[in-house]
Amino acid sequence: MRNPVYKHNMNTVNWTLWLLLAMTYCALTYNPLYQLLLFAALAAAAVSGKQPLKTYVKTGLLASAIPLFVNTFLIHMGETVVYTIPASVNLNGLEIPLPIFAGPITIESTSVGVVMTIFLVNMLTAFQIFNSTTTPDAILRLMPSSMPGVALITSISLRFIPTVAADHSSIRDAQVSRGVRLDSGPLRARIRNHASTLAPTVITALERAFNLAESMASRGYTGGRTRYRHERWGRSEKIVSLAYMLSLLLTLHAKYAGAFDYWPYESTRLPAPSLLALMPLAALAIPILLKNERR
Amino acid sequence: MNAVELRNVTYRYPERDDYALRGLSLKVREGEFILITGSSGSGKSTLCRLLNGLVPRYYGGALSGSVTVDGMDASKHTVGEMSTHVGLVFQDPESQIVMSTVEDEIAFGLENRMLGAGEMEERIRWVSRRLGIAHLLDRRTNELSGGEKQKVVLASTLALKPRVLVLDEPTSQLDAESRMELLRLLKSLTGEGITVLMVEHCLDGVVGRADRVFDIDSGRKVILKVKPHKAAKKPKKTSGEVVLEVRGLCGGYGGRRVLDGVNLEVRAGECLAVTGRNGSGKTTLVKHFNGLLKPVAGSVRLFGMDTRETPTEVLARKISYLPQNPSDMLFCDTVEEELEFTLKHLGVGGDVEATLKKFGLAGHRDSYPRDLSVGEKQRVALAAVLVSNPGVVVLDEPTRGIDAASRETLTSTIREMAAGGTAVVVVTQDRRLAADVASRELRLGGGAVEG
Repeated sequence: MRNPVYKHNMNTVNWTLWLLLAMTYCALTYNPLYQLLLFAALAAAAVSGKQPLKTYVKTGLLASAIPLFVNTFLIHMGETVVYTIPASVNLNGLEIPLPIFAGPITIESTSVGVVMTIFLVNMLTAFQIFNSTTTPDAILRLMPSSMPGVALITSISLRFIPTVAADHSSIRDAQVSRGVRLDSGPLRARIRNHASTLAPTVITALERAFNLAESMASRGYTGGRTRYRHERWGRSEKIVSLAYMLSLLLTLHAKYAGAFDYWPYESTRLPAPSLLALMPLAALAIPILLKNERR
Repeated sequence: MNAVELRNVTYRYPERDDYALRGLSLKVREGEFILITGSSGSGKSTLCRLLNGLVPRYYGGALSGSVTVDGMDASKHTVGEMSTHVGLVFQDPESQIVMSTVEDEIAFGLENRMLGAGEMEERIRWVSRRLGIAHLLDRRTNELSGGEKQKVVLASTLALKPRVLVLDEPTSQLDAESRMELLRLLKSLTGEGITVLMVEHCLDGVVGRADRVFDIDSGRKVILKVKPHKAAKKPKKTSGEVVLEVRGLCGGYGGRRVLDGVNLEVRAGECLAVTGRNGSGKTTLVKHFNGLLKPVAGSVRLFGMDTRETPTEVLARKISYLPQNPSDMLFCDTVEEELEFTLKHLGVGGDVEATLKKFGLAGHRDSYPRDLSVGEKQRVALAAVLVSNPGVVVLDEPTRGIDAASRETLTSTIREMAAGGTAVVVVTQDRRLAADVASRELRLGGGAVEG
């Protein structure tokens, strides 16, 4: 999937705070109303940045299929029974036991499954929005300028991981094509056969590292550098940071004040919305006001 | 004034008895476009590294003679200092990219040059417009195609505005159209006073662009006169049995569909060329032939075996696959062991001695394969996949990075195999190879068969 870097008029520090707030809020409540409102705030941020919200939601829904299934069919807690799965079914005279599935399907368990679905969609959407507006390089640039080498080395290492993984995949393909059994046969032979993929992977990674060093030196890398990107850190950025930090504190306070309290197994009736719990959501929608004018 | 001047340069890598370069002399005038050719292992890459001081500073070894680039004596300046005059672009773009976005990658060298943000922005805009990659600036570098990466790497070097640009086989991963585009661009740079030295095996499209060709083997300039290619007589279409049958094949990687309803039959004794632009699905298609990829829809049958149900290691007894990068295969201590390794794992017999001789590797039997030149590695990998005498052979971009002599060997080997009843499938961007060996061409475009 193509994953461009979306331009957005919010700096990396504020995107990091935004992500922290979204994750904290999401993790602290089982209340479906708050989770849905959180989704609305995230969706607004994604849409305002012209990001592919549909793809994000699809990823979240795919990831949540298992918890939804487990909660609906395997967890039998709750009092409002919709249907009871029998201990066995008779198929053409053949008695098939349903040992794990047997039991009641309840509204409460299904509700937990639904809340977990929204929870996962929210978590993944927040991460994908963050990932699409920032890069590892941008995050590493937050390191103090007294340690530029550390940031660069970390950045290169991060970039190297998928490259080495891709190399290993190609090497694996090449060796399997020569008849090397990596997934079948006796364990000892398989371990030995894996050497035929690991040795070239390590050597290739070392060769790549050397080539990269040559390329960096050829472009004048000696350690001292200026910075192309200087992220804005003016009054408006400071105000946004402050808003996120206050919202984060407010979220924690709301949790300890009981504003998020709701447990679907105990009741399917939602408590009245709390202003304290709703306020941090407004901060998550700040990216709408700062839409993509410049990076 | 000469932009580049080499006087009687001799160089030997540490712990090697043979010379990488011996008594080399060369003068290149400012604004010239020089093509450097030579056989595999003749020292072309060493020459490139010599021009910006990587050799001998990074490699050690013994150097004699003098190297002057843009008036600077390479032996008296650091690589960093030389980089302000010489831009060096290597063969594999993947191994040169440092940053995670295109814009940051182009800025990398400029930041090293300690330029101000304004000037960097100006240069990034200039070079991205010049190379037609302005639309890529926000893209992540790990998501670019091979051709796009090559342009980004070139852009990050050009942004430094070097007086001399040295390129070590920059077109090896480009399709024919992108290659011509790059050659046109390099020619236009010379009009701006930039001197271009390009190492390249393939002379197609060079006429009218390069001013001179320097043959490193003879140490002489040669007159740029490329004979029009006369395609060898096309192998006859064969009526042998169908060994590979592809029906309505749809498939791809990680949920991304690359192939869309491909139908194909390959017969014993024929050579099929699979062509198409970068990203058209050529490698994806052939990886379905030996079960490395399983069809999402449709079917692939090899000698009647359904590749969806048969493990690759079993199919491997009938089909050999040479990957794009021969180094992916090579890990044994000697060339001979590489061939024996294949036979051992396939559980079949084969004539190692004859295969070594056939590919001109008898003299390298005890060499460590990864120490060999690109062309020699290619020959070892080819020998290692062909030693088992398979019924179907798939070669993925086999001419990449190999010299004219290795190419001749490859062409005759393919013809011999086809004449002997082996079905050969060659994935290639190389029009000349396709014309020389293929009895049929399958052109892919957007994951489907064109035409």
